[in-house]
Amino acid sequence: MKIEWDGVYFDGRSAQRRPVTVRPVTDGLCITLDSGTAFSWPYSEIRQVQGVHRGQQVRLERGATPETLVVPDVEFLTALNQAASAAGLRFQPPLRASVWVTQTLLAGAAAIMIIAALYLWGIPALADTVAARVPVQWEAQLGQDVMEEVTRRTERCGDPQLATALEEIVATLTTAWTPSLYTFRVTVLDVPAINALAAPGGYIAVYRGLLEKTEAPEELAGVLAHEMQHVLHRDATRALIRETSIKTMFDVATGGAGSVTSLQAAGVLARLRYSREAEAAADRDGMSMMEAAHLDPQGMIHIYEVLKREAEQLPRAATYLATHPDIDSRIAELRMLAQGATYTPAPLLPGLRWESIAQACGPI
Amino acid sequence: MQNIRTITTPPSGGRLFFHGRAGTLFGFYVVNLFLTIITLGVYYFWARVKIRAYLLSQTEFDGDRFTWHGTGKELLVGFIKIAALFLILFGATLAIRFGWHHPAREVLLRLGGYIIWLFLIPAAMVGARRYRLSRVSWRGIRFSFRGRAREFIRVFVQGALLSVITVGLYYPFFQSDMRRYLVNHSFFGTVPFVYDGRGRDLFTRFLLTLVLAVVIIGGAFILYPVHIPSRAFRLPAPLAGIAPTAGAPTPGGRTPIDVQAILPFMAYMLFSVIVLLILWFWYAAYRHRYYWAHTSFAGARFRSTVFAGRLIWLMFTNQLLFGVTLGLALPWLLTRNLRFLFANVSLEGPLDLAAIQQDVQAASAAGGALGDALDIGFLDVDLAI
Repeated sequence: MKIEWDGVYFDGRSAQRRPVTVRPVTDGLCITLDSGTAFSWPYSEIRQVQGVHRGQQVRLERGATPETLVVPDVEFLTALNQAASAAGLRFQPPLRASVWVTQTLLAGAAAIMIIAALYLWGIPALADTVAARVPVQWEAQLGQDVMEEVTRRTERCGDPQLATALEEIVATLTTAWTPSLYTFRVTVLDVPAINALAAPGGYIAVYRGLLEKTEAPEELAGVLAHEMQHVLHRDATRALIRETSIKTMFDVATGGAGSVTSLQAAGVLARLRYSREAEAAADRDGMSMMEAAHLDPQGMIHIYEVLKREAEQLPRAATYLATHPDIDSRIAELRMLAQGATYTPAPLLPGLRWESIAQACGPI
Repeated sequence: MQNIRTITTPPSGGRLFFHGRAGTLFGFYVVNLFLTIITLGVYYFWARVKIRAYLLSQTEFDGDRFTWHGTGKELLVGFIKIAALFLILFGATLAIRFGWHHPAREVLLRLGGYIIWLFLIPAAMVGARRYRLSRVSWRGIRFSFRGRAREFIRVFVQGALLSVITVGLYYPFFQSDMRRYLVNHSFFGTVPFVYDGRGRDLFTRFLLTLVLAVVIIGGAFILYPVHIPSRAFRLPAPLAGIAPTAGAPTPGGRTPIDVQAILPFMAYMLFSVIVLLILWFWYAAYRHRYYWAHTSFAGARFRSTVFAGRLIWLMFTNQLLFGVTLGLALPWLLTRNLRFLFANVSLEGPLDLAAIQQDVQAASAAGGALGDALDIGFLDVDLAI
C-alpha cells in the first residue's frame, strides 16, 4: 500500500496553490509542503466534502475558513480509512465502479417500474378520486377557459334560430333528468368536421359538420344527451386531471414545471379517447336521458348510424369515430336499450323545419 | 506562511477544461430520478446539488478544479420561501378575480402581472447570480456577486421600457447595460471582473442584422411574390388532431384550404424563419465574442471564438439528438455544450493570482430558488442564447 500521496493544499485565505505530500499517520494527516514545512490535520477535524467516484478528486476541508486539501486519487480514501480507523473514525470509502453501475441499473429499473405503475394505476385512481371532489364552479371555470380557447381559433355559429333550438333541446333533456348543478351551454363551431366534444362543467361543442348530418332534432338530442352524460360523469375533468398528473410526473422526472394551460387542455379534449367503459356509460345514461324526456330513441340510433357511414368514407382523423371508437357494438347496445322504451315519443320542436336549422351555420 | 507574489501565465492557454463523462452524468440522473420519485419530489433539491457539484468538480482551470458548496437543504428552504411568494401572488389574483367586479378588472390584472414580472425577473437574475457565485470556489477562494437588487431592477426596468418604446432598437444597449452590471459586481475573492463593452458597438451589428433580415426576406418576396392566402392565419379546425385532412372533400361543407395554393406561401414562411434563425445566431455569436472580449479579470482578458456556423451546427444537432432520443441524450448534450464553450472561451494575458484574497459574502438560497423557478441560466454555462 502506498504511504505517501500527492495533493494540493489551499489555505483558504489566498488563491495560492501549494503542492504537498500527504501521509496518513495514527492521529492525523501529515501534510508536507514543497518547502519542507510540515503540519498535521487531526482526523477528528477533517470534513470529507467530495470525491468517492473514480475520476473525482478527493476534497477534504478543515476549519471555518476553510483550509482545503485536494488529492486527485480516490484510492487515497482507502489509506485514509485504514489509518483513521485506529483513531475510531470512518470516512466514506471509494465507490467501486461495479457497485456503482449495479446501483444505477437497479435505481433505473425501479424508477421505470414505479413510473409505469403510477401511469397505469396510480394516476387513474388519483384522477377518479380528485375528479369526484372538484367543485362544479371550478369545472365550469375550466370549461369556459377551454371553450374560449377553442372559439378564439374558430368562429362559432351565431344563428339565433339555431341557438333557440339548442336551448330548447337542452331544456327538454335536463328537466326530465335528475337535477344537477351543471348549466349546459352548447356551442356550434363553424368547422366541417363531424364531431362533438364535452369540456368540463357543462360546456359542449358541436361541429357544423355533425349538425348538418342530423335529419331531425331528436338526432342532435341523442348526441347532446351523450355529451351531457360525459359532463355529468365528469369524464373530461378526470381526463384533464390525468393528463396534468402525467405531465407533472414527467416534468418532475426531467426537471420542468408541471402545469397545463387552457390551450393544452383544449388540445387534450380534442384528442381524447375516453375508455370503452366511459363511452358505454355515456351511451347508456344518454339513452336513459332520451327516454326520460320521452324523446324518440331511434333519433339517437339513427345519428350513430349516420356517423358510422360517414366514417367509412372519410379519413379517420376527421370523424367522430376517431374519438368515439367501437361504433358497431355501441349501436347494437343502443338498440337493445331502446327496446325497453314503452312510451309514445313526444315530438321535439314540432313547429320547426329542422333542415333549415341544421344548415343554418354554413353555406350549403 | 508568507505570501509570495507570483505572476503565472496559465498553461493550456488559460482555458477551462471539462473532465466529466456523460455516462457518469447519465447515471447520476437515473439515480436522482429514482430517489426523487420515492421521496415524492423532496430529493429533487439534493439531486440538483449532486449534478452541479459533479459538473464543477470536473471543470478545471490552470490545474485546479472548481467546487460547489451549495446544499440541498438550503435549496429546499429557498424553494419553500419562493413557493410561498408565488402562492400569495396567486391567491391575490384569485381574490381579485372573484371578489372585485369592475369592467377593467382583467386589463388591470394583466397589467399588474406585467409589472410584477418586470420586477421579479431582474430580482431573480440578481438573486440567482448572488447565490450561485457565492457557492462556487476555486483554489479555496469563493466567488461572489455584490450587486444590489434595487440597482439592477432600475437598470432592467429602464432598459426594458426603452426597448419597448424604441421598438427594440434600444435592445443591444439594454443587454450591454445588464451585462455591465452583472459582470462588474462579480468577484473572485477580493478581485472584481470588469466589463468595458459599450451598447453602441453591439447596436451596429444589431442594426446590420435587422437590415439584412429585411433585405433578404423582403427581397425574396419582391423577386418571387407569393400569394398570401387570407385564410392562412385561421386554422380550418379549432384544434390540431381532429382537423380534417386539408383539401379532403368534406360532404356538405366547403374545402377548408387549398394546399396547392398555400404551398409557395408555406415555403416562403419556412425560408423566412430559417433566414431569421441564421441571422439571429450570427448576431448572438458576435455578441458572445464581444462580451468576452470586453470582460477582464486581474489584468487578463477573456477571448471567445464562438462563430455563427459552429453555433448553428451545435444547436441544430443538439435539438436533433434531443428529439431522436426523447431527451435521454441530455447528459451528452450538456457535456457537449460545456466542451464547446470551454474550447472557445479563454483567458489571455498574465494573471495575477497571488493578490487574490478570500472574501466570503453571504447569500440566501431563496435567490437561487427564484432563479430556478424562472429558469435563469446557471453561471452563464448555458450559451445564453
